[in-house]
Amino acid sequence: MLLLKDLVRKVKDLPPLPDIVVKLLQASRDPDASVREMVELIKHDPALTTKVLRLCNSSYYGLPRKINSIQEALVYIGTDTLVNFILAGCLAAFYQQSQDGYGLESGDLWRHSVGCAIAAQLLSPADDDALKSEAFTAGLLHDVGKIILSSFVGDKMQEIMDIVKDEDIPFEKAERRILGFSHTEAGAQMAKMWNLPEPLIEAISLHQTPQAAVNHKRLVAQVHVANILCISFGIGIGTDGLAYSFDPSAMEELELNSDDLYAISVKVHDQFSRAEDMIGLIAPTGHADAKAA
Amino acid sequence: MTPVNEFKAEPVILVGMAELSVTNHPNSCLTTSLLGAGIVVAVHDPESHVGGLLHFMLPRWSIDKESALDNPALFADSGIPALYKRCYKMGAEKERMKCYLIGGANVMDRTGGFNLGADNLNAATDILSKNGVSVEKTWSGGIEGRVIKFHTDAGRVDVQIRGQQEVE
Repeated sequence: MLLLKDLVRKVKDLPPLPDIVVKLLQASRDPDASVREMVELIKHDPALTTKVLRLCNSSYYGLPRKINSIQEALVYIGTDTLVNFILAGCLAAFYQQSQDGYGLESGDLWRHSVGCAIAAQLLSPADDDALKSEAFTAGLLHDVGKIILSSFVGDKMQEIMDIVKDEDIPFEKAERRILGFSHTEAGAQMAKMWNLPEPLIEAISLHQTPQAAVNHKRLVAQVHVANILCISFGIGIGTDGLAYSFDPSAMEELELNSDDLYAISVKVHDQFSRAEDMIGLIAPTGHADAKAA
Repeated sequence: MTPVNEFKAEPVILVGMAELSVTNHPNSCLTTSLLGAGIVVAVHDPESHVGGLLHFMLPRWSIDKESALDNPALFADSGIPALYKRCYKMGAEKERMKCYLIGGANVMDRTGGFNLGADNLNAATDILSKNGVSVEKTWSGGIEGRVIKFHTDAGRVDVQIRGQQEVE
């Protein structure tokens, strides 16, 4: 059984979240932060600048002219999208390894996270750019706890799945009973240690139990439904499969019925297919370069 | 000179979500990305060696008519007719064709508010039965992700549960 100190030690063993991510997240939530400040943060990182320009000039955006500077990129794709992209680029490094404990092959968790980010964003009100951006980020991060728990799951996966089936309870409850922590709790602990904003911590922590959300009910509901959609479509799922509970209170919060959800699923599929290009671009280890060549 | 014991690899065709593929290669393998609540419809004509796989996402084309026109493979009621038509064009005949259904897993939902896997399975069986097609075998329901390999030489379906070694 895991103790909190084991978890903390494991998080400390991970590479730290790059400073630029935390600074950009803070700047993007600050209405007084200027585009110039954002550009200043990014332009001192040549590798990041190259990736951002490559993304802007990719078929994903299909812009009519070539973008040559971060300043131009911000004008064309907007600050929120740029922050999302940079965050995704930094997080990709954490997600590329296989999470063998969960039966996830290399890249599976990343595909699941990108799918969830796209779906969570699409579930936002059309006129709420801030929530769209926050939902995308929360979607990317919602299962981050699997990265550290994977090595502890090890050969206990079968035991966890036996409990799921015998007692008909959701995966995270059986996971907590066997390991001492669920991946949602582990993820929330990571997010706290990385000093991520409070709405993201709540979304990571409660995305399986959205009725427990207090301060960010809408965001948590979006991530819950997005996660259920991606699991249902088999996007980056592992041995845990579809062993998660759907909470209808999230649909009430979002004022959706199942037909609305089916219609949104088509859009998720369309955007996820187009994002394959983006997924390749932000891969950290040679993938993007190989693709560009 | 023809080498003795020449080995020809079985061509593998990956059929992603909302895609369909049909082949008349007598020795190919049609395989899918991981299946959750979506359904795979696998059909095979042993005489013409035509085999096809549809991996649809959602039950009804009325959910998004414009998208259904662009890509019938998104939905059961537009994808299944498209699959059969493609097979007929390659020489398959309905009377000889065998049909298998795989998928339709469900997340845990005690309220019945979101039963995509069951909706998909009902839609597929409904349209097949209305068109006089009987299903040879169904692997459906449950909470597990599945991977399919469909071998067109004998029309054999291998279903593997994610995280398990055995093939059903």
